[in-house]
Amino acid sequence: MGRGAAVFASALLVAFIAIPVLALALRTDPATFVRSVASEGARTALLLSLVTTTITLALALFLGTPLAHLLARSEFAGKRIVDAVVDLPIVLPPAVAGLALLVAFGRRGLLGPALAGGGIQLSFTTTAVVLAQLFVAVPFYIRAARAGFSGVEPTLEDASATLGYGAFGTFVRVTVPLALPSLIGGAVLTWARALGEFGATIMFAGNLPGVSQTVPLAVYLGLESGDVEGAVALSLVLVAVSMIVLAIVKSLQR
Amino acid sequence: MPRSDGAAFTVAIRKTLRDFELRVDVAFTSGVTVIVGPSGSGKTMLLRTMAGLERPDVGHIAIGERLVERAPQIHVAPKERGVGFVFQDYALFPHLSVTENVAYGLCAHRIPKPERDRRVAAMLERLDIAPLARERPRKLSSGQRQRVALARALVIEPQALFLDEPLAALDVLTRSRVRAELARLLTGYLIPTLLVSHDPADAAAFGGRVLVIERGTVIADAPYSSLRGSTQTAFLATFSEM
Repeated sequence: MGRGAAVFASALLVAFIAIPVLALALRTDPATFVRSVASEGARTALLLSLVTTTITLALALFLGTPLAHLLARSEFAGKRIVDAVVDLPIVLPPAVAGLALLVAFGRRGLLGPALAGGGIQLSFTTTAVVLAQLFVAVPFYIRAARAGFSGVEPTLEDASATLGYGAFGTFVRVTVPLALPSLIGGAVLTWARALGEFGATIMFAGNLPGVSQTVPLAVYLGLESGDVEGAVALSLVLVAVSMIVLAIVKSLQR
Repeated sequence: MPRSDGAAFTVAIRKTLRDFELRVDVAFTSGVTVIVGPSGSGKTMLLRTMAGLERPDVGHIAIGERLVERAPQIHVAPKERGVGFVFQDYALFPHLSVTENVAYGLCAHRIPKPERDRRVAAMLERLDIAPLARERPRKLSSGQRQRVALARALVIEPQALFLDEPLAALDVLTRSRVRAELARLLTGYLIPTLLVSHDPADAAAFGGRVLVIERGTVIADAPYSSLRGSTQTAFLATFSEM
């Protein structure tokens, strides 16, 4: 391919991605933006998104870190199956993930009666929002953390062991610090994926203001109900957050 | 200061490796023993097993009177064995400075900071690396790294010192100089000191006891001087060529 054609194709594609994002910004003005973001509905959605994504991230770190370390350092029966299961949500359509969560943990789902017996109802609650986010987002952290742990020389851990630290002390003092850029990168991506979660959330948790209406769902509802200004304003908040996330990930890759 | 408790390290183990079985039944007293053998003969595995990083299939290991391994029931973790280990390529912690690397084992043993600082400073001085105290390992030459690894292993006042191919990472020009320095330094430590090498020249430099291992089996265990003239195997014959 000639250089001219390559430049043209590239320019076309970059413009195709940049123009819609720019259009969002041009669609509003500072006064409208501030008024929309400060509205009761928008603030409720922003707060809910902040709370649920924070809990999701905490769960991902707490549960995903041991699993990632196991996958990086140990050989065990069924490792390939565990590996495939953990990667599945990345390729699964979010709506399918939401339906799967519903037929598993919903009131009439596979485990619904058992959960109801314990007085637990998950579907259409804030807990369901967190579970939907965790389901779709945790693989990003596990993948990054696993790669980070794999990159730490095992003899460094051996050295730490001969110098007097046990498994946990070695993990905290050697493995985690050396894998830290990967861990932070994975955590940021997981949080961003959770923040943008839409399909699985609306299927499993519904679209209830204050309970399950996170920012992406509020954007959708705003458009449905004719509040385009509100939808645009919330979208711009997500664009800004996405750019910050990208900047963090890029700076870690250097 | 060098310790002189002189506890012997006894090992009688068997461990199945990929191509052969490691079978060793020896005792190491104070002083340097050079363990030589062709690459892949099980030398490193022997050190790792003695340090507790690997488990033998059967057998026992004791440091002085203290039983640290009776496979498979008893396995004392590496952190409890008090073995100073200098790894091939040195395994310095890249995220820590020279001082922090050397202080690492003292932190693990909860030595109070004033004593820790004093012992680290003394060890850096002893190995002529005090000017490098604040450097990160990646800034150091191979020879400097070796000293830091040695300082890190010795500062915990180990019961025994293991060095796995400590000269392999050095270029030919510095190797003979560093080898002589290492030999001089190690004679000051009256603990079992095991130096693994694939190079018979190292056995010559350290002079003392030599253990020759081929395919997991000890085929010679004698002072260096009496090994010259052996022609039992092709590897042993190379001793006579030097």
